[in-house]
Amino acid sequence: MNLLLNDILKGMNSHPNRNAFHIDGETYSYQELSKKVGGIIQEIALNGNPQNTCIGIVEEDNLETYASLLAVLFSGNTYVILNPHNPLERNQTIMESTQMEMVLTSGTKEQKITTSAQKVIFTSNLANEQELQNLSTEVDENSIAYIMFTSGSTGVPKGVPISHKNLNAFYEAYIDLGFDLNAEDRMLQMFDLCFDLSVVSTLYPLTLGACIYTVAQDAVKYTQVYELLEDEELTFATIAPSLLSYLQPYFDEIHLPKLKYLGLGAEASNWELLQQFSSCIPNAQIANLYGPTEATIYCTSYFVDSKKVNTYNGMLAIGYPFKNIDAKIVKEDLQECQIGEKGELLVSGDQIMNGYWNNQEKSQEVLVELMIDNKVTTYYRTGDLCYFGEDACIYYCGRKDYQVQIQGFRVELNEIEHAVQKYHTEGRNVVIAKTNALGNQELHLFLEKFTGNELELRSFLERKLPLYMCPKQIHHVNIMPLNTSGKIDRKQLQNTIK
Amino acid sequence: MEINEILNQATTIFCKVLKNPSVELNENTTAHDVDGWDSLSNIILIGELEKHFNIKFKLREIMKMKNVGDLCTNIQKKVA
Repeated sequence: MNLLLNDILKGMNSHPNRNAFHIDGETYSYQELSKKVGGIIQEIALNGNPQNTCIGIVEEDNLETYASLLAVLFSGNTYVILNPHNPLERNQTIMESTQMEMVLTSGTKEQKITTSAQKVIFTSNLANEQELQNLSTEVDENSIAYIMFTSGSTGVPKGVPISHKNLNAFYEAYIDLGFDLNAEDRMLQMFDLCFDLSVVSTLYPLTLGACIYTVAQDAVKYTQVYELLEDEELTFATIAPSLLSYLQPYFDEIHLPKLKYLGLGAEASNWELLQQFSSCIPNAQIANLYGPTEATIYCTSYFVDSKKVNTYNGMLAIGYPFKNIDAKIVKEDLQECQIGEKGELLVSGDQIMNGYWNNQEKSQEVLVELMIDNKVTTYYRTGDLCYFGEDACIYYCGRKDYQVQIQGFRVELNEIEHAVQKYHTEGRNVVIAKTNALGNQELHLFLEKFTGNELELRSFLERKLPLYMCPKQIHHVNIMPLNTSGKIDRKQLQNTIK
Repeated sequence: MEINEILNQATTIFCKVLKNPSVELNENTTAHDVDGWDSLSNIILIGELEKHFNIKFKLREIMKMKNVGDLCTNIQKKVA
Protein backbone atom coordinates (compact mmCIF):
# COMPACT_ATOMS: atom_id res chain seq x y z
CA MET A 1 0.00 0.00 0.00
CA ASN A 2 1.21 3.47 -0.83
CA LEU A 3 1.09 5.36 2.48
CA LEU A 4 0.85 8.91 1.16
CA LEU A 5 -1.67 8.18 -1.60
CA ASN A 6 -3.72 6.15 0.84
CA ASP A 7 -3.81 9.00 3.37
CA ILE A 8 -4.70 11.53 0.66
CA LEU A 9 -7.58 9.32 -0.47
CA LYS A 10 -8.71 8.95 3.13
CA GLY A 11 -8.51 12.71 3.63
CA MET A 12 -10.56 13.36 0.50
CA ASN A 13 -13.22 10.76 1.23
CA SER A 14 -13.70 11.62 4.89
CA HIS A 15 -14.26 15.35 4.37
CA PRO A 16 -16.45 15.67 1.24
CA ASN A 17 -18.08 18.92 2.33
CA ARG A 18 -15.02 20.68 3.68
CA ASN A 19 -13.02 23.03 1.52
CA ALA A 20 -9.97 21.50 -0.11
CA PHE A 21 -8.75 24.54 -2.03
CA HIS A 22 -9.06 28.30 -1.90
CA ILE A 23 -7.84 29.57 -5.26
CA ASP A 24 -8.07 33.17 -6.43
CA GLY A 25 -10.96 33.94 -4.07
CA GLU A 26 -12.98 30.79 -4.92
CA THR A 27 -13.30 27.73 -2.69
CA TYR A 28 -13.63 24.11 -3.84
CA SER A 29 -14.81 21.24 -1.67
CA TYR A 30 -13.11 17.88 -1.36
CA GLN A 31 -16.06 16.43 -3.25
CA GLU A 32 -15.46 18.78 -6.17
CA LEU A 33 -11.76 17.96 -6.10
CA SER A 34 -12.46 14.26 -5.97
CA LYS A 35 -14.79 14.46 -8.99
CA LYS A 36 -12.22 16.40 -10.97
CA VAL A 37 -9.47 13.92 -10.14
CA GLY A 38 -11.73 10.98 -11.03
CA GLY A 39 -12.67 12.58 -14.33
CA ILE A 40 -9.05 13.18 -15.30
CA ILE A 41 -8.02 9.64 -14.34
CA GLN A 42 -10.75 8.36 -16.63
CA GLU A 43 -9.51 10.55 -19.49
CA ILE A 44 -5.98 9.25 -18.99
CA ALA A 45 -7.33 5.69 -19.09
CA LEU A 46 -9.33 6.40 -22.26
CA ASN A 47 -6.19 7.73 -23.92
CA GLY A 48 -4.22 4.52 -23.93
CA ASN A 49 -4.10 4.04 -20.15
CA PRO A 50 -0.36 4.67 -19.87
CA GLN A 51 1.59 3.40 -16.86
CA ASN A 52 4.91 4.66 -15.57
CA THR A 53 5.13 7.36 -18.23
CA CYS A 54 5.80 11.05 -17.88
CA ILE A 55 2.69 13.18 -18.22
CA GLY A 56 3.03 16.93 -18.55
CA ILE A 57 0.87 19.37 -16.61
CA VAL A 58 0.62 22.96 -17.78
CA GLU A 59 0.84 24.95 -14.55
CA GLU A 60 -1.90 27.42 -13.80
CA ASP A 61 -3.42 28.62 -10.58
CA ASN A 62 -6.66 26.64 -10.77
CA LEU A 63 -8.38 23.50 -9.48
CA GLU A 64 -7.77 21.63 -12.75
CA THR A 65 -3.98 21.94 -12.36
CA TYR A 66 -3.97 20.58 -8.80
CA ALA A 67 -6.45 17.83 -9.70
CA SER A 68 -4.24 16.87 -12.66
CA LEU A 69 -1.29 16.45 -10.35
CA LEU A 70 -3.26 14.03 -8.15
CA ALA A 71 -4.69 12.19 -11.16
CA VAL A 72 -1.23 11.54 -12.57
CA LEU A 73 -0.03 10.21 -9.20
CA PHE A 74 -3.08 7.98 -8.66
CA SER A 75 -2.90 6.61 -12.21
CA GLY A 76 0.62 5.35 -11.55
CA ASN A 77 2.36 7.88 -13.78
CA THR A 78 4.98 10.56 -13.33
CA TYR A 79 4.09 14.23 -13.33
CA VAL A 80 6.29 16.83 -14.96
CA ILE A 81 5.33 20.48 -14.68
CA LEU A 82 5.40 22.68 -17.76
CA ASN A 83 5.47 26.31 -16.76
CA PRO A 84 3.87 28.55 -19.41
CA HIS A 85 6.19 31.37 -18.32
CA ASN A 86 9.25 29.34 -19.22
CA PRO A 87 10.91 29.90 -22.56
CA LEU A 88 9.36 27.58 -25.15
CA GLU A 89 12.71 25.95 -25.79
CA ARG A 90 13.13 24.93 -22.17
CA ASN A 91 9.71 23.29 -22.09
CA GLN A 92 10.43 21.50 -25.34
CA THR A 93 13.74 20.19 -24.00
CA ILE A 94 11.88 18.86 -20.95
CA MET A 95 9.17 17.25 -23.10
CA GLU A 96 11.71 15.61 -25.38
CA SER A 97 13.96 14.31 -22.63
CA THR A 98 11.02 12.73 -20.78
CA GLN A 99 9.49 11.33 -24.00
CA MET A 100 6.30 13.03 -23.01
CA GLU A 101 3.32 12.02 -25.10
CA MET A 102 0.48 13.28 -22.99
CA VAL A 103 -0.11 16.77 -21.64
CA LEU A 104 -2.90 17.87 -19.29
CA THR A 105 -3.98 21.46 -19.58
CA SER A 106 -6.88 23.55 -18.38
CA GLY A 107 -6.72 25.18 -21.72
CA THR A 108 -5.90 28.85 -21.57
CA LYS A 109 -2.14 29.00 -21.91
CA GLU A 110 -1.42 25.67 -23.60
CA GLN A 111 -0.75 26.75 -27.15
CA LYS A 112 2.89 27.61 -26.93
CA ILE A 113 3.67 24.44 -24.99
CA THR A 114 1.68 21.53 -26.27
CA THR A 115 2.47 21.66 -29.96
CA SER A 116 4.79 18.66 -29.86
CA ALA A 117 2.68 16.46 -27.58
CA GLN A 118 0.60 13.80 -29.29
CA LYS A 119 -2.21 13.78 -26.78
CA VAL A 120 -3.55 16.89 -25.16
CA ILE A 121 -6.27 16.44 -22.55
CA PHE A 122 -8.31 19.49 -21.73
CA THR A 123 -9.17 19.27 -18.07
CA SER A 124 -11.65 22.14 -17.85
CA ASN A 125 -14.48 20.37 -19.65
CA LEU A 126 -14.35 16.70 -18.89
CA ALA A 127 -16.93 14.35 -20.37
CA ASN A 128 -17.44 12.52 -17.14
CA GLU A 129 -16.70 13.53 -13.61
CA GLN A 130 -16.87 10.82 -11.01
CA GLU A 131 -15.86 10.67 -7.41
CA LEU A 132 -12.93 8.63 -6.27
CA GLN A 133 -14.24 5.68 -4.36
CA ASN A 134 -12.49 2.41 -4.85
CA LEU A 135 -9.35 3.82 -6.29
CA SER A 136 -6.37 1.57 -5.98
CA THR A 137 -3.45 3.02 -4.09
CA GLU A 138 -1.25 0.09 -5.07
CA VAL A 139 1.17 2.27 -6.99
CA ASP A 140 4.56 0.60 -7.34
CA GLU A 141 7.04 1.97 -4.80
CA ASN A 142 9.81 2.21 -7.35
CA SER A 143 7.84 4.10 -9.95
CA ILE A 144 8.62 7.79 -10.27
CA ALA A 145 6.09 10.20 -8.72
CA TYR A 146 7.48 13.38 -10.24
CA ILE A 147 10.51 14.82 -11.96
CA MET A 148 11.63 18.32 -10.99
CA PHE A 149 13.88 20.10 -13.43
CA THR A 150 16.48 22.37 -11.89
CA SER A 151 18.87 24.61 -13.73
CA GLY A 152 22.02 22.77 -14.72
CA SER A 153 25.38 24.48 -14.80
CA THR A 154 25.67 23.77 -18.53
CA GLY A 155 22.34 25.44 -19.22
CA VAL A 156 20.61 22.10 -19.90
CA PRO A 157 17.96 21.50 -17.21
CA LYS A 158 18.77 18.64 -14.82
CA GLY A 159 15.89 16.29 -13.99
CA VAL A 160 15.50 15.04 -10.43
CA PRO A 161 13.24 11.94 -10.41
CA ILE A 162 11.58 11.26 -7.05
CA SER A 163 10.04 7.81 -6.57
CA HIS A 164 7.01 6.92 -4.44
CA LYS A 165 9.46 5.24 -2.09
CA ASN A 166 11.37 8.55 -1.71
CA LEU A 167 8.14 10.47 -1.26
CA ASN A 168 6.71 8.06 1.33
CA ALA A 169 9.95 8.12 3.32
CA PHE A 170 9.71 11.92 3.32
CA TYR A 171 6.04 11.83 4.31
CA GLU A 172 6.69 9.50 7.22
CA ALA A 173 9.50 11.73 8.50
CA TYR A 174 7.44 14.90 7.99
CA ILE A 175 4.59 13.48 10.12
CA ASP A 176 7.21 12.62 12.70
CA LEU A 177 8.02 16.35 13.13
CA GLY A 178 4.79 16.45 15.11
CA PHE A 179 2.96 19.47 13.69
CA ASP A 180 -0.33 19.75 15.56
CA LEU A 181 -2.67 20.16 12.60
CA ASN A 182 -6.06 18.82 11.55
CA ALA A 183 -8.98 19.34 9.16
CA GLU A 184 -9.69 22.76 10.69
CA ASP A 185 -6.35 24.19 9.59
CA ARG A 186 -5.80 26.69 6.78
CA MET A 187 -2.51 26.20 5.00
CA LEU A 188 -0.51 28.22 2.48
CA GLN A 189 0.83 26.94 -0.85
CA MET A 190 2.89 29.74 -2.39
CA PHE A 191 5.45 27.81 -4.44
CA ASP A 192 5.67 27.28 -8.18
CA LEU A 193 4.73 23.70 -8.96
CA CYS A 194 8.07 23.19 -10.68
CA PHE A 195 9.73 23.77 -7.31
CA ASP A 196 9.55 20.80 -4.94
CA LEU A 197 8.38 22.70 -1.83
CA SER A 198 5.03 22.85 -3.63
CA VAL A 199 4.72 19.06 -3.27
CA VAL A 200 4.47 19.08 0.52
CA SER A 201 2.50 22.34 0.61
CA THR A 202 -0.10 20.68 -1.64
CA LEU A 203 -0.18 17.01 -0.66
CA TYR A 204 0.23 17.20 3.11
CA PRO A 205 -2.89 19.33 3.84
CA LEU A 206 -4.96 16.88 1.77
CA THR A 207 -4.04 14.04 4.12
CA LEU A 208 -5.53 16.10 6.96
CA GLY A 209 -8.65 17.23 5.17
CA ALA A 210 -7.42 20.82 5.66
CA CYS A 211 -7.84 23.72 3.23
CA ILE A 212 -5.01 24.83 0.92
CA TYR A 213 -4.70 28.52 0.03
CA THR A 214 -2.83 29.00 -3.23
CA VAL A 215 -0.99 31.98 -4.65
CA ALA A 216 -0.94 32.77 -8.37
CA GLN A 217 2.49 32.69 -9.95
CA ASP A 218 2.29 35.63 -12.31
CA ALA A 219 1.12 38.17 -9.78
CA VAL A 220 2.49 40.35 -7.02
CA LYS A 221 3.20 37.53 -4.59
CA TYR A 222 4.17 39.20 -1.34
CA THR A 223 0.99 41.22 -1.07
CA GLN A 224 -1.06 38.13 -1.98
CA VAL A 225 0.63 36.05 0.71
CA TYR A 226 0.11 38.77 3.30
CA GLU A 227 -3.52 39.16 2.26
CA LEU A 228 -4.15 35.42 2.69
CA LEU A 229 -2.28 35.23 5.99
CA GLU A 230 -4.20 38.12 7.49
CA ASP A 231 -7.65 38.02 5.87
CA GLU A 232 -8.06 34.24 5.77
CA GLU A 233 -6.30 33.79 9.11
CA LEU A 234 -4.02 31.04 7.88
CA THR A 235 -2.65 28.74 10.57
CA PHE A 236 0.27 27.16 8.73
CA ALA A 237 2.60 28.74 6.20
CA THR A 238 5.90 27.71 4.70
CA ILE A 239 7.52 30.58 2.88
CA ALA A 240 10.82 31.52 1.28
CA PRO A 241 12.65 33.92 3.61
CA SER A 242 13.15 36.43 0.76
CA LEU A 243 9.42 37.11 1.02
CA LEU A 244 10.02 38.53 4.49
CA SER A 245 12.62 40.95 3.20
CA TYR A 246 9.95 42.35 0.84
CA LEU A 247 7.56 42.77 3.75
CA GLN A 248 10.17 44.18 6.13
CA PRO A 249 9.25 47.88 5.64
CA TYR A 250 5.70 47.04 6.77
CA PHE A 251 6.32 44.75 9.76
CA ASP A 252 4.69 47.23 12.15
CA GLU A 253 1.39 46.86 10.25
CA ILE A 254 1.38 43.06 10.25
CA HIS A 255 -0.40 41.12 12.99
CA LEU A 256 -1.02 37.40 12.53
CA PRO A 257 -2.11 35.93 15.88
CA LYS A 258 -3.76 32.88 14.27
CA LEU A 259 -0.60 31.56 12.66
CA LYS A 260 0.52 28.39 14.48
CA TYR A 261 3.58 27.50 12.43
CA LEU A 262 5.91 29.43 10.17
CA GLY A 263 8.10 27.15 8.07
CA LEU A 264 11.08 28.58 6.24
CA GLY A 265 12.41 26.82 3.20
CA ALA A 266 14.26 27.27 -0.08
CA GLU A 267 17.19 29.32 1.18
CA ALA A 268 19.16 30.33 4.26
CA SER A 269 17.12 32.16 6.89
CA ASN A 270 18.47 35.33 8.37
CA TRP A 271 17.71 35.23 12.10
CA GLU A 272 17.75 38.98 12.62
CA LEU A 273 15.05 39.50 10.00
CA LEU A 274 13.01 36.67 11.52
CA GLN A 275 13.41 38.10 14.97
CA GLN A 276 11.98 41.40 13.74
CA PHE A 277 9.12 39.47 12.13
CA SER A 278 8.45 37.34 15.20
CA SER A 279 6.48 40.13 16.88
CA CYS A 280 4.01 39.90 13.96
CA ILE A 281 3.45 36.19 14.68
CA PRO A 282 3.16 36.03 18.49
CA ASN A 283 1.72 32.49 18.58
CA ALA A 284 3.71 30.80 15.86
CA GLN A 285 6.47 28.30 16.20
CA ILE A 286 9.25 28.85 13.67
CA ALA A 287 10.69 25.85 11.84
CA ASN A 288 13.70 26.13 9.57
CA LEU A 289 13.42 23.39 6.96
CA TYR A 290 16.40 22.38 4.88
CA GLY A 291 16.82 19.99 2.01
CA PRO A 292 17.99 19.61 -1.56
CA THR A 293 15.46 18.48 -4.21
CA GLU A 294 17.60 15.35 -4.68
CA ALA A 295 16.80 14.26 -1.10
CA THR A 296 13.03 14.86 -1.46
CA ILE A 297 11.95 18.32 -0.27
CA TYR A 298 13.39 18.55 3.26
CA CYS A 299 15.78 16.33 5.18
CA THR A 300 16.64 18.35 8.29
CA SER A 301 14.63 20.63 10.56
CA TYR A 302 15.35 23.20 13.23
CA PHE A 303 12.57 24.36 15.53
CA VAL A 304 13.51 27.73 16.97
CA ASP A 305 13.54 28.04 20.74
CA SER A 306 13.76 31.77 21.32
CA LYS A 307 15.63 31.29 24.61
CA LYS A 308 18.63 29.88 22.78
CA VAL A 309 18.89 30.28 19.04
CA ASN A 310 21.55 28.48 17.05
CA THR A 311 22.97 30.58 14.24
CA TYR A 312 26.11 30.82 12.17
CA ASN A 313 27.01 34.13 10.48
CA GLY A 314 23.48 35.29 11.25
CA MET A 315 21.87 32.31 9.50
CA LEU A 316 19.59 29.92 11.41
CA ALA A 317 21.00 26.44 11.98
CA ILE A 318 19.42 23.71 9.86
CA GLY A 319 19.11 21.50 12.89
CA TYR A 320 18.69 17.77 13.02
CA PRO A 321 18.31 15.07 10.36
CA PHE A 322 14.86 13.71 9.57
CA LYS A 323 13.94 10.27 10.85
CA ASN A 324 15.62 7.73 8.53
CA ILE A 325 18.15 10.24 7.24
CA ASP A 326 21.79 9.79 8.08
CA ALA A 327 23.86 12.96 7.83
CA LYS A 328 27.63 13.14 7.69
CA ILE A 329 29.97 16.05 7.31
CA VAL A 330 33.13 15.22 5.43
CA LYS A 331 36.36 16.73 4.17
CA GLU A 332 37.49 16.70 0.55
CA ASP A 333 38.83 13.13 0.98
CA LEU A 334 35.40 12.02 2.32
CA GLN A 335 36.81 11.47 5.81
CA GLU A 336 34.48 12.63 8.57
CA CYS A 337 35.03 16.03 10.14
CA GLN A 338 35.43 16.62 13.86
CA ILE A 339 32.78 18.47 15.82
CA GLY A 340 33.00 22.13 14.84
CA GLU A 341 35.03 21.39 11.73
CA LYS A 342 33.48 22.55 8.45
CA GLY A 343 32.96 20.22 5.54
CA GLU A 344 30.44 19.12 2.95
CA LEU A 345 27.11 17.76 4.17
CA LEU A 346 26.28 14.25 2.92
CA VAL A 347 22.88 12.60 3.39
CA SER A 348 21.66 9.03 2.93
CA GLY A 349 18.39 7.18 3.37
CA ASP A 350 15.22 6.32 1.52
CA GLN A 351 14.57 9.95 0.62
CA ILE A 352 17.60 10.13 -1.68
CA MET A 353 16.95 9.93 -5.43
CA ASN A 354 18.48 7.07 -7.42
CA GLY A 355 20.16 9.43 -9.86
CA TYR A 356 19.45 12.29 -12.24
CA TRP A 357 17.15 11.65 -15.18
CA ASN A 358 19.24 10.21 -18.03
CA ASN A 359 22.42 11.75 -16.71
CA GLN A 360 24.72 9.13 -15.32
CA GLU A 361 27.74 11.38 -15.39
CA LYS A 362 26.13 14.00 -13.16
CA SER A 363 24.68 11.29 -10.90
CA GLN A 364 28.13 9.81 -10.35
CA GLU A 365 29.42 13.23 -9.34
CA VAL A 366 26.88 13.63 -6.55
CA LEU A 367 26.21 10.08 -5.35
CA VAL A 368 29.07 8.47 -3.43
CA GLU A 369 29.29 5.07 -1.82
CA LEU A 370 30.74 4.89 1.66
CA MET A 371 31.48 1.82 3.78
CA ILE A 372 29.43 2.19 6.97
CA ASP A 373 29.45 -0.72 9.44
CA ASN A 374 30.69 -3.08 6.73
CA LYS A 375 27.81 -2.06 4.50
CA VAL A 376 28.00 0.03 1.35
CA THR A 377 25.69 3.02 1.69
CA THR A 378 24.97 5.63 -0.96
CA TYR A 379 25.26 9.25 0.14
CA TYR A 380 24.16 12.35 -1.73
CA ARG A 381 26.70 15.18 -1.75
CA THR A 382 24.68 18.31 -1.05
CA GLY A 383 27.40 20.79 -2.00
CA ASP A 384 26.51 22.63 1.21
CA LEU A 385 29.17 23.59 3.69
CA CYS A 386 28.15 22.70 7.27
CA TYR A 387 29.44 21.67 10.65
CA PHE A 388 28.13 19.73 13.64
CA GLY A 389 27.80 21.66 16.90
CA GLU A 390 28.40 20.09 20.32
CA ASP A 391 24.70 19.24 20.59
CA ALA A 392 24.75 17.42 17.19
CA CYS A 393 22.91 20.36 15.65
CA ILE A 394 23.92 21.03 12.03
CA TYR A 395 24.98 24.57 11.19
CA TYR A 396 24.78 25.76 7.60
CA CYS A 397 27.73 27.88 6.42
CA GLY A 398 26.83 28.45 2.77
CA ARG A 399 27.29 26.74 -0.56
CA LYS A 400 30.59 24.94 -1.03
CA ASP A 401 30.98 26.90 -4.26
CA TYR A 402 30.83 30.14 -2.28
CA GLN A 403 34.07 29.21 -0.65
CA VAL A 404 36.85 30.75 -2.70
CA GLN A 405 40.59 31.14 -2.50
CA ILE A 406 41.76 34.74 -2.39
CA GLN A 407 45.50 35.27 -2.36
CA GLY A 408 45.84 31.75 -1.04
CA PHE A 409 43.37 32.29 1.79
CA ARG A 410 40.16 30.30 1.97
CA VAL A 411 37.32 32.78 2.13
CA GLU A 412 33.65 32.16 2.84
CA LEU A 413 31.56 34.68 0.99
CA ASN A 414 28.78 34.43 3.60
CA GLU A 415 31.13 35.68 6.25
CA ILE A 416 31.75 38.88 4.31
CA GLU A 417 28.02 39.29 3.64
CA HIS A 418 27.38 38.93 7.34
CA ALA A 419 29.89 41.68 8.11
CA VAL A 420 28.36 43.99 5.49
CA GLN A 421 24.93 43.37 6.98
CA LYS A 422 26.02 44.84 10.29
CA TYR A 423 26.56 48.16 8.51
CA HIS A 424 23.96 47.94 5.76
CA THR A 425 20.79 46.85 7.55
CA GLU A 426 18.09 48.25 5.25
CA GLY A 427 18.66 46.01 2.24
CA ARG A 428 20.37 42.76 1.36
CA ASN A 429 23.89 42.32 0.13
CA VAL A 430 25.66 39.68 -1.91
CA VAL A 431 29.36 39.06 -2.38
CA ILE A 432 30.52 37.39 -5.57
CA ALA A 433 34.00 36.27 -6.57
CA LYS A 434 35.01 36.70 -10.18
CA THR A 435 38.29 36.07 -11.94
CA ASN A 436 39.78 39.36 -13.13
CA ALA A 437 41.89 40.06 -16.22
CA LEU A 438 45.00 38.97 -14.35
CA GLY A 439 43.49 35.59 -13.55
CA ASN A 440 43.02 36.37 -9.84
CA GLN A 441 39.79 36.01 -7.89
CA GLU A 442 38.36 39.41 -7.07
CA LEU A 443 35.52 40.12 -4.65
CA HIS A 444 32.50 42.13 -5.77
CA LEU A 445 29.94 43.44 -3.32
CA PHE A 446 26.36 44.05 -4.47
CA LEU A 447 24.33 46.36 -2.23
CA GLU A 448 20.57 46.62 -2.31
CA LYS A 449 18.91 49.97 -1.56
CA PHE A 450 22.15 51.42 -0.18
CA THR A 451 21.88 55.07 0.76
CA GLY A 452 24.91 55.33 3.02
CA ASN A 453 28.48 56.37 2.39
CA GLU A 454 30.62 53.89 0.44
CA LEU A 455 33.86 55.11 1.96
CA GLU A 456 32.49 54.69 5.46
CA LEU A 457 31.33 51.17 4.60
CA ARG A 458 34.77 50.34 3.27
CA SER A 459 36.52 51.53 6.39
CA PHE A 460 33.93 49.69 8.52
CA LEU A 461 34.74 46.46 6.70
CA GLU A 462 38.47 47.04 6.98
CA ARG A 463 38.01 47.20 10.74
CA LYS A 464 36.07 43.91 10.77
CA LEU A 465 37.77 41.77 8.15
CA PRO A 466 41.26 40.99 6.94
CA LEU A 467 42.12 43.11 3.94
CA TYR A 468 42.00 40.18 1.50
CA MET A 469 38.35 39.68 2.46
CA CYS A 470 37.32 43.27 1.76
CA PRO A 471 35.49 43.52 -1.58
CA LYS A 472 37.42 45.44 -4.21
CA GLN A 473 34.40 46.53 -6.23
CA ILE A 474 31.04 47.80 -5.00
CA HIS A 475 27.89 47.70 -7.15
CA HIS A 476 24.45 49.07 -6.39
CA VAL A 477 21.12 47.46 -7.20
CA ASN A 478 17.58 48.57 -6.49
CA ILE A 479 16.52 45.04 -5.68
CA MET A 480 18.25 41.67 -5.81
CA PRO A 481 17.28 39.58 -8.83
CA LEU A 482 15.70 36.23 -7.91
CA ASN A 483 15.70 32.97 -9.85
CA THR A 484 12.61 30.81 -10.38
CA SER A 485 13.07 29.16 -6.98
CA GLY A 486 12.90 32.52 -5.24
CA LYS A 487 16.59 32.53 -4.35
CA ILE A 488 18.95 35.40 -5.11
CA ASP A 489 20.21 34.89 -8.65
CA ARG A 490 23.98 35.05 -8.16
CA LYS A 491 24.68 34.07 -11.74
CA GLN A 492 22.75 37.06 -13.02
CA LEU A 493 24.66 39.36 -10.68
CA GLN A 494 27.93 37.84 -11.80
CA ASN A 495 27.03 38.44 -15.42
CA THR A 496 26.53 42.15 -14.77
CA ILE A 497 30.21 42.47 -13.76
CA LYS A 498 32.09 43.87 -16.74
CA MET B 1 -3.43 67.17 -8.36
CA GLU B 2 -5.65 65.93 -11.22
CA ILE B 3 -5.91 62.14 -11.65
CA ASN B 4 -4.81 62.46 -15.27
CA GLU B 5 -1.66 64.29 -14.23
CA ILE B 6 -0.88 61.57 -11.67
CA LEU B 7 -1.53 58.91 -14.30
CA ASN B 8 0.90 60.63 -16.69
CA GLN B 9 3.64 60.91 -14.10
CA ALA B 10 3.07 57.32 -12.93
CA THR B 11 3.29 56.10 -16.54
CA THR B 12 6.70 57.73 -16.89
CA ILE B 13 7.86 55.93 -13.76
CA PHE B 14 6.46 52.58 -14.94
CA CYS B 15 8.25 52.96 -18.29
CA LYS B 16 11.51 53.70 -16.52
CA VAL B 17 11.30 50.89 -13.93
CA LEU B 18 10.03 48.24 -16.34
CA LYS B 19 12.52 49.43 -18.96
CA ASN B 20 9.77 49.56 -21.53
CA PRO B 21 9.00 52.96 -23.11
CA SER B 22 5.66 51.75 -24.48
CA VAL B 23 3.87 50.94 -21.21
CA GLU B 24 0.38 52.40 -21.40
CA LEU B 25 -1.67 52.76 -18.27
CA ASN B 26 -5.29 53.62 -17.76
CA GLU B 27 -7.43 53.45 -14.64
CA ASN B 28 -8.44 49.83 -15.33
CA THR B 29 -4.94 48.47 -15.92
CA THR B 30 -3.89 45.67 -13.52
CA ALA B 31 -0.59 43.82 -12.93
CA HIS B 32 -1.82 41.07 -15.26
CA ASP B 33 -1.99 43.50 -18.18
CA VAL B 34 1.58 44.74 -17.95
CA ASP B 35 4.55 42.53 -18.85
CA GLY B 36 7.12 42.42 -16.07
CA TRP B 37 4.86 43.80 -13.33
CA ASP B 38 5.49 41.22 -10.59
CA SER B 39 6.52 41.11 -6.91
CA LEU B 40 10.01 42.34 -7.60
CA SER B 41 9.14 45.21 -9.91
CA ASN B 42 6.17 46.13 -7.70
CA ILE B 43 8.51 46.86 -4.81
CA ILE B 44 10.65 49.03 -7.04
CA LEU B 45 7.59 50.74 -8.54
CA ILE B 46 6.12 51.51 -5.13
CA GLY B 47 9.49 52.81 -3.94
CA GLU B 48 9.88 55.08 -6.98
CA LEU B 49 6.32 56.38 -6.72
CA GLU B 50 6.82 57.10 -3.01
CA LYS B 51 9.99 59.01 -3.77
CA HIS B 52 8.51 60.91 -6.72
CA PHE B 53 5.33 62.01 -4.96
CA ASN B 54 6.99 62.24 -1.55
CA ILE B 55 4.43 59.95 0.07
CA LYS B 56 4.41 56.66 1.99
CA PHE B 57 2.05 53.74 1.41
CA LYS B 58 0.84 51.32 4.02
CA LEU B 59 0.94 47.60 3.16
CA ARG B 60 -2.86 47.46 3.56
CA GLU B 61 -3.20 50.20 0.95
CA ILE B 62 -0.88 48.45 -1.51
CA MET B 63 -2.84 45.26 -1.01
CA LYS B 64 -6.21 46.92 -1.59
CA MET B 65 -5.15 48.54 -4.85
CA LYS B 66 -6.66 46.37 -7.53
CA ASN B 67 -5.78 48.51 -10.52
CA VAL B 68 -3.95 51.64 -11.62
CA GLY B 69 -7.07 53.74 -10.90
CA ASP B 70 -6.91 52.74 -7.21
CA LEU B 71 -3.22 53.53 -7.19
CA CYS B 72 -3.76 57.03 -8.60
CA THR B 73 -6.68 57.80 -6.26
CA ASN B 74 -4.49 56.77 -3.35
CA ILE B 75 -1.66 59.01 -4.50
CA GLN B 76 -4.11 61.87 -5.02
CA LYS B 77 -5.38 61.59 -1.43
CA LYS B 78 -1.86 61.54 -0.05
CA VAL B 79 -0.49 64.51 -1.97
CA ALA B 80 -3.53 66.65 -1.23
